[in-house]
Amino acid sequence: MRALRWGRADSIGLEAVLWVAAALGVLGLVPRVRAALQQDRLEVTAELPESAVPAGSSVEAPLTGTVVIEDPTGQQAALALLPDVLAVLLVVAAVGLLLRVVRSVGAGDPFPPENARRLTGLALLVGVGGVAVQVVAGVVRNELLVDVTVLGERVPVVFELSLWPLLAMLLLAFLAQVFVRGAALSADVDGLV
Amino acid sequence: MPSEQAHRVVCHLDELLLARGMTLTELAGLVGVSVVNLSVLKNDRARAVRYSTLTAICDVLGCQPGDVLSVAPPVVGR
Repeated sequence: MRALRWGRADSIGLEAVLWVAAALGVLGLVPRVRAALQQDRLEVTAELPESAVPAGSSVEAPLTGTVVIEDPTGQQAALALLPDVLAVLLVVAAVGLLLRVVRSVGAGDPFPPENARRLTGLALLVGVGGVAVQVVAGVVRNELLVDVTVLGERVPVVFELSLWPLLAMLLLAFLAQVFVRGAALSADVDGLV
Repeated sequence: MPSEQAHRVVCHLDELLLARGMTLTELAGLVGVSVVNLSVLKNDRARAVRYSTLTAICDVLGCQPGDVLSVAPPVVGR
C-alpha cells in the first residue's frame, strides 16, 4: 500500500495534466473562433428527413448528414460557436476547482471544509453544466437548421441528451459527501495531542 | 455533547517539569511527541489528549494523569 501513497510529485504531475487539459480546451477553441470571425462555411450535423432516403435502398432512417451553410451571417457563426465556448468555460472552471483540491491534498491537508464545497461545486458544474451545454447545442443546431430543407422537407428537430453528466454529478456529489465527513473528522482531531 | 469552549481542564506540565529540572524539549524527545504539540498541551490549548500520549508523559515524569491534568472550578457569574 505504501507504493500507492500519494506524494508531492503525484500532485505536481496531476496539476500539470489539469493545466494541459485546460490549455487544450482553450486552444481547441481558437480555430473555431477564427473561422467564426472570418465567417467561413458552417457544417452542421443533422438528422435528415425520411424522404432523403432513396426509395428501394437498404439504408434505414434516421439518416444523418452534414448540412453546409455557405456564407453564414455573423449571428449564425456566433450561435454555432456558443456550445463550444460554454463547454470550454465549464472545463476551465472545473479544472480551477480541481487544481485547488489537488494543491490542498499535495500540501498534506486533504480535508479542509473548502474541498467539500469545491467538490459539490464541481458536481453541479459537471451535471447542470453538462446538460446545459447539450441543451444549448440542440437549440443552436435547430436554430441553424430552421430554414434548411432537404428534398422540400424541413430537417426534423432532434434533441439528444446524454445522461453521462448526470451520472458523473452523482459520483462527484458522493465524493463531496466523503470530503464533508473527512472535514468533520479532521476538525475533531484538530488540537489533539 | 458539551461545547468546545466549555472545558476547564488545566495542564500542570510547567510545575512537573520545573520540579524535575526538565525542559519541554527533553520531555518531547522522551515522550516521542513534537515540542509544538507538547507546548499546545502545556499552554491549555489542546482540545483532546491521546491516552498513549498521557501514558508516555506519566511514564517519563513518574506521575499519574491527575498530576498532569486537573479541572478548574467553574467561574461564578458566567
